[in-house]
Amino acid sequence: MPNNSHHHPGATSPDHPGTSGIWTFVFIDMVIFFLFFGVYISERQRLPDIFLSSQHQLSPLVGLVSTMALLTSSWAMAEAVRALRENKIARAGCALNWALALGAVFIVNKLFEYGGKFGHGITPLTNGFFTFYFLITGLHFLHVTGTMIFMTHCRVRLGVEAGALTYRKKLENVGLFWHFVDVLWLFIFPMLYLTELVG
Amino acid sequence: MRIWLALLGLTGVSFLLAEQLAVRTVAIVAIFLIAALKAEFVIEHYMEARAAERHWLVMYFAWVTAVTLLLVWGHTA
Repeated sequence: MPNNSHHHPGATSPDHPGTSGIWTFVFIDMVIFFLFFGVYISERQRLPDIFLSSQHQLSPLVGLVSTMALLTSSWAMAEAVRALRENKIARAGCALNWALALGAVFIVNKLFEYGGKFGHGITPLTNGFFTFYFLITGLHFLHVTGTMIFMTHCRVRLGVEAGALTYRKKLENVGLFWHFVDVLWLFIFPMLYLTELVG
Repeated sequence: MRIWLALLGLTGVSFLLAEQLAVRTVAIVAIFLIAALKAEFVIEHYMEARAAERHWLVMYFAWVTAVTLLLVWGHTA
């Protein structure tokens, strides 16, 4: 008689956060960003004066606000997952609202920053630093907006699907990716914004 | 809540260190080490990597270490 409880390696386990696929996907994305960072560093060493003078045109305070918004949003997302596991649906919904609102703060902040740059005639073609600035923060921005679309879907479906294991896994997966987006920013922030402050 | 407060606090500290520390190399090492510590906090406490299959924790922490070394080397060499 076949054992129906047999668990295929790599399949979804109710005991592990998220699914095996999301951990793999995040790691592949990590490797891609590692390569971007590597090329950035390589170009920075080739053109140190251009990179340093261009970095002075970024506002560390704008970067700080983005960091605080993402860190807090990440915490709210973790709270949403925790609340769902404890079957506290209203609390999960409230936490998801906060995660989305703070993600929106990040997006608005970033759009103002981009607007300011374009307003001063700074584009990805201005110099090597700004090519990387727009490429790295732009890709990160796409990760943020893309994940927020999935977060919104989870928020909308919460009332209908909250009890299902598939929904819990979906929310955990979206949460894992949201935290990864946060982790990326934790390195982008000092790399682009903080090192300019160093004497 | 404690982790979130620690993350915000460490962010503030790294901002202050970048502004205040006179020795460039020390400041660079400090701000990227703080970034690495924050990343490990998020991976461990928010992503719950310890509850996932063991190799993910090892690989994610290895990535954090590799990125930190790359960025420190790239800004100090």
